Amino acid sequence: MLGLVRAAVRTLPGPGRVIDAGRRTAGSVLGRAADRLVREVGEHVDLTPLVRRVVDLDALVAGVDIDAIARRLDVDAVARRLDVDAVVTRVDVDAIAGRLDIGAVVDRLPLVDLAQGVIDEIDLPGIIRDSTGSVASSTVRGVRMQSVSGDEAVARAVDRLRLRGRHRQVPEPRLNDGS
Amino acid sequence: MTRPELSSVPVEARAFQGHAAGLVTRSIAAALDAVVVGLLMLAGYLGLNGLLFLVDPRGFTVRDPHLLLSLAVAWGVAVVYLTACWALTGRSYGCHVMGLSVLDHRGRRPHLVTALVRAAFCAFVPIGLLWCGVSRTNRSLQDLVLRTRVVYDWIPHDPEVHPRSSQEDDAESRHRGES
Repeated sequence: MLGLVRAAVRTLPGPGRVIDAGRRTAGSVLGRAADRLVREVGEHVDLTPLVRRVVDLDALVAGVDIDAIARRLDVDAVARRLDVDAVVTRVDVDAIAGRLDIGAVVDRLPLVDLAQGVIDEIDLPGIIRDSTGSVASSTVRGVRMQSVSGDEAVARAVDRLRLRGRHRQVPEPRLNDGS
Repeated sequence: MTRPELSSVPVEARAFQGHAAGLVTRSIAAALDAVVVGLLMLAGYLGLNGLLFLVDPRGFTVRDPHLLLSLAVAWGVAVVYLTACWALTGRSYGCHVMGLSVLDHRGRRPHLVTALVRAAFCAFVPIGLLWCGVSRTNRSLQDLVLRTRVVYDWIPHDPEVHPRSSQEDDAESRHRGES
């Protein structure tokens, strides 16, 4: 009999376990009740004016580290989502150009160096020399072109006399090439 | 940085640059060279008479030029003049006015020996020039023997001039059945 009592006592939970179970049960019940209470309050009470009245929002925001938030911000992702074209179309470029100080920009440009570089690159003195030389006058140019035409005429006549279907390859003049 | 394509050659003439010149242009150039040789002969004759006058003013009489001697001197002057021009610049005065250049089989300025042989050949057999009117590659008798070419080259060393080599001309000649 005494053995049976001892075995039954051993199977019973200890007082600590009973207290923990009680706490868990009470916490769960209270949590559900608080959740229900907040939901009910939120549905029936306008919290925004209440928070404005009770909470010092300026002091709260002053304590926020905005720099830390900005550092965590993925700016590239924001830029990808941004429609830059739409933003640019709203910008008045003409107004910006009107406010631009072109004179100051030009003053900062090394125009002499740029001009010298261009002249060196295209060999402008050589072109002027070739263009204004005595043998490059319009008369000589005309004589040369006429003689080229004469060469072609002679070549065609000789080809015709030789009764050959294949003519000499004479390049076509590029009359409309503006390069 | 690639060099921009700028040239003082007229647009309508650019297509011909580097191509073999025909009979008319070359004949005009040859005629101008003949005039130059004639002027050199005249200057030499006047200079010789002036020298004789300075040496012996009292006994001076204008020398009557001997025909054969004059022809021989003219031939020599022509050979020296053409050799010097072709070897030094690749173009005589006639070629300079008409925008021509003499090239060897590699497409370069003729070597001194080549220029000398070609000048002598041209002075001895000037009628060989007429063959370029018959030739499909616009080559005179001298060009065929010495493998030289005369091309349109309005601006010497112009980047647009890409003279074809003698091998290319030979290949074209064979393709067209020219012996």
